[in-house]
Amino acid sequence: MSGNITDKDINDLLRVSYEKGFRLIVERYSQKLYWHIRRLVIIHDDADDALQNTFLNAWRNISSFRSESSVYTWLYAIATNEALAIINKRKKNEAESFDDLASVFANSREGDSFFDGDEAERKLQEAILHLPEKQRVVFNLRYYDEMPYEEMSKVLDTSVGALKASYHHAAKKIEDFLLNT
Amino acid sequence: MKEHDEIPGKNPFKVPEGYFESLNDRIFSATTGAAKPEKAVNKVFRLRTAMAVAATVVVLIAAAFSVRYLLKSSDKQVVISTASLNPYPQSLLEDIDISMIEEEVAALDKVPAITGINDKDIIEYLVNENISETDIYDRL
Repeated sequence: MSGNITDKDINDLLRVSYEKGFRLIVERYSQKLYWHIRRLVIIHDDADDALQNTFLNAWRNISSFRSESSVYTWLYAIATNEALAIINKRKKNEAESFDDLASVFANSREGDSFFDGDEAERKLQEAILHLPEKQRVVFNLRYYDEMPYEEMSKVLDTSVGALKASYHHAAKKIEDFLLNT
Repeated sequence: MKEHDEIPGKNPFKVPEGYFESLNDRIFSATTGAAKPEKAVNKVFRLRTAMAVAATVVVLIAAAFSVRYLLKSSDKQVVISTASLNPYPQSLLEDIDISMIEEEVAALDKVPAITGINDKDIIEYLVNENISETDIYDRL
């Protein structure tokens, strides 16, 4: 059903009923947002927490959502912020730094409970984890979500030019990582 | 069972079995069960509210200025009367007529004495007023 729902349907329904409109939002975006968050925070439980917080924030602020805005960019902006909040919280706790997460990937094997990729995918994830935070977000949004730069510009409140440069640098670093490790 | 992301870009992560089946229900119970968002107010209503607030602020400012003006006015009166008070005690002293006061005091001594009444008459009067003779003699 979620495949047939458009943002226009959601906007139309939000004018009638917040609750019904919100149900449509959840049906259309819950899985997409989960994967977006998961790729940033890596761990499932963190992704689940961030997703719940994303929808809780969306629900609380739904009355201030303007129908002329895009539901898609609005939700991705909230989800990205929630994911980054978890990453920053984790950074403060040195015991769970991203180096540790990278080593989790380095030691992961096919059939692990959280990871089911092959060797090439494991190395790619490891390389992405070594990117600076902003470049990681940009790379994931572009590579996995195939988000147009114009949309990404709204989500991250950054110019298209800066995003293109960011993606270019990220791709180069990943290439170097894959070639040299 | 592996539940892959269906969007482009190969996704190597897994989620617990049945996670997505219950996800939406969990989100609904965590969100719509929370405090309901306020209904959006239309622009006219928002404008009316803003105008009411602005009018209230103007009235309050006007009232504050009025009070301040009145307080300033009353301050001025106090200043004038205080200024006029300085020579006042001296003028009062100058206006006192000592001889008039002496005449008033002397007049008090000239109250006519009651004549034709002796002690016996007074005692009889007091006895008639139910005051015992013993009490009268005790007080004499």
